[in-house]
Amino acid sequence: MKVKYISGIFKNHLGVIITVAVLWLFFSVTSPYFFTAYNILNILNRMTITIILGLGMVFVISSGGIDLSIGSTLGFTGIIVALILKANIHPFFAVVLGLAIGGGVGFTNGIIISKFRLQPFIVTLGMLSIIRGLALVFSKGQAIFGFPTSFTGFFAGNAFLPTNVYIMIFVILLVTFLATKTRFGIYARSIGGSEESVILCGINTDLYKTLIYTLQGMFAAIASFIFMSMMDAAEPLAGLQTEWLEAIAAPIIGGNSLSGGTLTVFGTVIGGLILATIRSGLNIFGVQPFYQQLFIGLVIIISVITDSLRHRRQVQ
Amino acid sequence: MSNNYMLEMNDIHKTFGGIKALKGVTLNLKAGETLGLVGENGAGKSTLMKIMCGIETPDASCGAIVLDDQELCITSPHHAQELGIGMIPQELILVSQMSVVENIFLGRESVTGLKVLKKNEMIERTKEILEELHCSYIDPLAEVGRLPKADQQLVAIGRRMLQGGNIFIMDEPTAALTEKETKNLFNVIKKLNSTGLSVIFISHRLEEVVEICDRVSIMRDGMMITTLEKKDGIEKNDLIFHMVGSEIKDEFPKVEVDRGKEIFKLEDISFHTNQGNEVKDISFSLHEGEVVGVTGLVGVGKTELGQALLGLRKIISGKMLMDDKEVEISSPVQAAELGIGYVSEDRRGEGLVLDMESLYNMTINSLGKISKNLVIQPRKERKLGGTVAKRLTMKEEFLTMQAQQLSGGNQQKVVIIRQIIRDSRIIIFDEPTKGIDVAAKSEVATLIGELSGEKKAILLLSSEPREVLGISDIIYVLTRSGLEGPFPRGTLDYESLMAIEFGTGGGK
Repeated sequence: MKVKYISGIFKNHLGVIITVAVLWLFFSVTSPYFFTAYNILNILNRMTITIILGLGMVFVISSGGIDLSIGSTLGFTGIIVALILKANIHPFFAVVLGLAIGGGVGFTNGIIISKFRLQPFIVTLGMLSIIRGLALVFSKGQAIFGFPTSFTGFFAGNAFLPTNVYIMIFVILLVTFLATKTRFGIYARSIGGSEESVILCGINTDLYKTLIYTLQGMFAAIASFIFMSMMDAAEPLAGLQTEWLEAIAAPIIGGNSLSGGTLTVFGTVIGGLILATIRSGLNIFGVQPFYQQLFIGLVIIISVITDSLRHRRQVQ
Repeated sequence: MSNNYMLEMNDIHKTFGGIKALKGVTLNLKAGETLGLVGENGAGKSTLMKIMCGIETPDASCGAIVLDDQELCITSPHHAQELGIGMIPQELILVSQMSVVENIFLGRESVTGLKVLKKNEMIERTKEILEELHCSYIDPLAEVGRLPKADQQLVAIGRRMLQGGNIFIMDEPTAALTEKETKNLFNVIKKLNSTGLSVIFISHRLEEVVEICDRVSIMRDGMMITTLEKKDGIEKNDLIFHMVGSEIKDEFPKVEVDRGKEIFKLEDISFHTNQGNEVKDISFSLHEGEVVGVTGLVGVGKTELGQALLGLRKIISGKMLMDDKEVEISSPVQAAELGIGYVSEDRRGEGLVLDMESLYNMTINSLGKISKNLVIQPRKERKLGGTVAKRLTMKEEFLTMQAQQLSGGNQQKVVIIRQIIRDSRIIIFDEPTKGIDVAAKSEVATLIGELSGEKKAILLLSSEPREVLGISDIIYVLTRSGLEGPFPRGTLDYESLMAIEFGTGGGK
């Protein structure tokens, strides 16, 4: 059973696994700086935010939805947590409150989407603007500096591996458990596959949809802690660049269909790894960040095309 | 009022926006019986069943439903389930990306105290259920979307069995099944009955209703007309008589038309079916004013033949001639340009834009005709659609209704009207009377005849033998070993046609 399960994972993700292998091989051969402990650690470090956000997103996408507001949630939560920290409140409570705020934003998204039967795209697009606005209001448009070392020291800490890598591993394990061992995972997929049939089975889809977006919001909060500690500052515009884009891209590259119904945690992690690898490789070759954005966009479109071709082949 | 009924629905009324859908309907169900429910589309069967399942509430909501001698109201689908009433709808409500186990257990997963799924236990239970349904060959871990329709049906029934309860409502369960699969389903139903479960069997296939049901309730115009008992003997014609209020002599009336010139010819066409079998050397020709019927068992490649002619399926070898000139059709656009129109068997999925008004559905592929300088002229559109609709005895008010609000028969008319407006020379019908009621069937049959009268060439792909025998001028039978025929009208009867389909005789 276990062996079959693992070989099944490899078979289903052959495309992305080969992609990673080819990328690593290519960069390792062409640059002496790529396959070094320093750079690998750097890649791991870089991919944590994408993967944490992407693993929240994978449930959203699986349920047939999308959350465009996570970048803003990250920025907003960061500002609020920074203000709380500046008010000399113990970092532990700041973290708990931060999770509640991120979760609260997701909860609001989920409630509006499920209760009013609205398109997730438009609801989260609105939310994107609202909370970015709030982040700017609360921070008066300025970055906030100077947090207690107990906060940054923890999130930017390093015990053999940086703390954020451990957090990422924890999130991966948690999400794998949720996806494969709980109703939450099954219902996320089935809502994306056929919401009507789930409703007729007497399942409270509104509740599960709301939970899905809430989880996504809490993951955005976790990502914001890491982001703040890396920068040692809370930026009202944090998460505005490619973070939210990569969070959507990682699950898609990993083979989760945008129309919902599928859910692969492994694929999402590999998707994040592909993005981080490309970014790192391009950095080593001294490609400007502007071009990097262009490459990321290309990778997303190529992966969606691949997905659609695979679907068509299956139908035939 | 105690008696031997487990469920009674008394004097049920339901009004939708001023229109009375149910006018005092009474329905009784005994324990361990199969009750047939028949009636034309729009007779009120679905509304009644929706009330029973808690999807709709009747006008005077309480007291009208008596379950096990208790008066109650059924407030929600969930409530109905708790009461043991479960529906297996016509359009299967399975999640196609998920496995058999996940679908069967959807909403009723077994979990440990810590809410962790007990996967192995669920797989074991699924195996038991599949065993009970005589289909242990289905892999519990298989993706449901990849199973044949018949197996999906069984999975849907399996889900109901797991949910427990004692009333199963099956809406058109055999619509997608072959004869053999239907037999298996009937065995399952009998087995359910023998354990005291009751089944309500809704179907347009009256001969099946006669075969499986202990009693048959017949509805018409929102009223319960009568309930017939099997022990008194039920004839299909009795059912039709009560359903339409008068006896239809001819279910598939034939309009006689003189054969015109040859339009289209297939020479040794080969293609693959969905199952990957090769269908070889198909040759026949279509003439103006002629109905060519191609029949055969389900899965033999009829639908795929239609797709090949539309450019949706790759043709491996052979050629196609239109007006004696060789043509290549590699997309539906090319097919349309050549004047080939297609009426899909899947009206809701492939035929109609469901939430668009039916008028727009009619004119969708002939917008050029109703436009002036690229601007659509609504008056012209309305007039054109209205005229054709009137000719087909379709009510004017249907034009502004969304396609999904129409009955199956009227939906079929909308798709046919589309081809008439488009002036297609060849119209391919794939199972045109599937899932529509008797009266509408005969109307569609007449309509096909009238189209041939307008010099159109008709290709009828159908697995309904009586339909093919009734309205085709030339019949071909597609079998695993190839295309048998042509059999001119009148040279085949029901038995000889079945014999050819099952490969037990006939043929040239």
